[in-house]
Amino acid sequence: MNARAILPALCLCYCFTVSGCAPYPGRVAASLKGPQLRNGVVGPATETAGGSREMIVWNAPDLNNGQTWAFSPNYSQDDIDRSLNLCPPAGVLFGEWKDVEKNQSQHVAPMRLIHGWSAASQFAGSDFWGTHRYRDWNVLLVGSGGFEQFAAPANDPNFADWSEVQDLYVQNPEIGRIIEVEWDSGFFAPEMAPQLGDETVVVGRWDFDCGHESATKSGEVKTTGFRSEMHAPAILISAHITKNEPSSLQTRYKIFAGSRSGPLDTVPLLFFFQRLWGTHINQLGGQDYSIALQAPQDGWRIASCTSEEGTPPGGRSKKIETQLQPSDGGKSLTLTLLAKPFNSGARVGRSMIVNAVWVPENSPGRQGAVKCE
Amino acid sequence: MRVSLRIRLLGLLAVPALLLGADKLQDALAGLKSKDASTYEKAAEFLAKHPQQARDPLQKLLQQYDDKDALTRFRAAKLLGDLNDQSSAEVMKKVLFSGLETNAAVRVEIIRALAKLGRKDVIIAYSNSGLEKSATVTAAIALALQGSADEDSKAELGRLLSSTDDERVSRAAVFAISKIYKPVLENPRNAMASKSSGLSKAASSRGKLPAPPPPPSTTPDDKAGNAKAKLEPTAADQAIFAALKAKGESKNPAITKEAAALLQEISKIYKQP
Repeated sequence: MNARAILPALCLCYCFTVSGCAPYPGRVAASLKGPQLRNGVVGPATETAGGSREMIVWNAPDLNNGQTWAFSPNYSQDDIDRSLNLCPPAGVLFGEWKDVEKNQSQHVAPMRLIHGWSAASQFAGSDFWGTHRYRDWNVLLVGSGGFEQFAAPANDPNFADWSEVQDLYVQNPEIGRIIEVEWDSGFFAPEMAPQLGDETVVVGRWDFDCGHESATKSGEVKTTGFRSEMHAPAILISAHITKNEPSSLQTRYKIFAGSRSGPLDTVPLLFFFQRLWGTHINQLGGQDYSIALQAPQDGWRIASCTSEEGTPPGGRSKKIETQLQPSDGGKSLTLTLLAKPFNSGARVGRSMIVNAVWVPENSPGRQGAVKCE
Repeated sequence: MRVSLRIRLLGLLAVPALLLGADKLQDALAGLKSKDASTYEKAAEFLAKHPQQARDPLQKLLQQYDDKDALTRFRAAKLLGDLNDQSSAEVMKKVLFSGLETNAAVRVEIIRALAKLGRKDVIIAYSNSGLEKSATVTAAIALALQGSADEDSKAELGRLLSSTDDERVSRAAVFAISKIYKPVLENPRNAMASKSSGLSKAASSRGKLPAPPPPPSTTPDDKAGNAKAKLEPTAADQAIFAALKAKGESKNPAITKEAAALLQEISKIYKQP
């Protein structure tokens, strides 16, 4: 009798213990598994200098339309209470991620869009296997303007569980709030992640991570609630300047879209059963997405461009077709992700890289239409 | 004979053990400088588990004002706050008042550590000194005083709010003030009945602050049990009300709204000047 009761209990304890860490996917290069490039100073690489402009402009649809919640730029008790109410004590045991815009009438919260610059991009230190197929790839975003309305008070850049954040904060005490973007690497290709300093646009699920409460548990500094983040994204686009010369600019845009994001909706206490079939699906299908890709400065036109397939994610998904063509008289490229033919909950994805060469508008040469090959 | 032999043997064993312990401490202190997350985490864990050994070297690290080591000083301040050793508060005070710590993030962490140690008196003295010019640090000072219902903290928050145009500081101060009055607003009867000021559990809980002020006096109606009776504000309360009123008329609409809303709430329970 005892053996019958003890053995399953021992097995369960053992499995909980060994399941502490989600693994790296086997297909990922060893060089990506360790610490990635880091530069604590947020300098020209991460913000547009004088005369420069954003390289990624979201055209349509307006994903932040009808937003029902926006954080104030600094401390507000309502903002803090929002996360504390959604993340009850021990709530992490019953679901770690809670939508910031909780709406009972909707089956899922709408996807939101944030625009920032990557201040760190690497694998998570560890992730609970019960709610992850593989270890998350984490991107740390800094930003300005509309970015702030997505960052909770707890996103102040002094959190202790990311030593990269400490480094970044000490180098940039006035940096403002930081948002994490986390994507299960079973459904995301780390090769398609932004590099340090890259301009980055993220579309996805905006939620609280109920596992990360701010401030201290002791002392008299009170909690400022839980951190908000993008977990998991559905679209991640980054722009990188590969060559910067007076006569030409070369840029690379990584575009990764995927509706799947792993078993993050799994109830940790029941993960053995739920994680087998549970995967969060972002409502990516059912509409097209249009994005303008630009040179980092005014006064440039497209000279040539190529597109290639990016590293695909793991798992099966239907491919989203794309259109890429010059627009605005050659001042930008318009990329369209053609996801309208799919159901909103379909398992769809796309991974591609666009390389563009830009020349000054007044430079000699062909002014006509450029086709991306 | 046997006893002395044992002592010698123990001595022989103790020396390598102590040396090993010293090595580990040095490794941990070196680990605080590491940019590798796991190395830092292991170092911090070791130091937190050995507060007696860690205290002095951490205090020394905090005073090594070299720009390259700002991350180490930041981490040292954080750990010293967690070690809960009062002697560290004096070192932090020295660092703040010396003006030699040029990194604002380190100063913010020192403020937070002082709050953890219950040394609001040092925070208030530093704030009053006028040495701090960074809005980020001043906002951290306001946040460190959140919910503190003693007269000194209230007076300082009123001063901070009335003397700044910075949005971050203003918002932090309004937030900190709202935490003082929230318990009173939620349960005014308890506040009146309390023998202390009763406005915050946090206030004076560590006995390092001046004695709490007497309970707020009330009108005669209140003593008869009339729930509508209003509390008599202290001098510090009045300073806060005046600062909130001024902010309620400021040019920044968001702060104006927050300050006016808070003042309106407070006026339900306090007599306004």
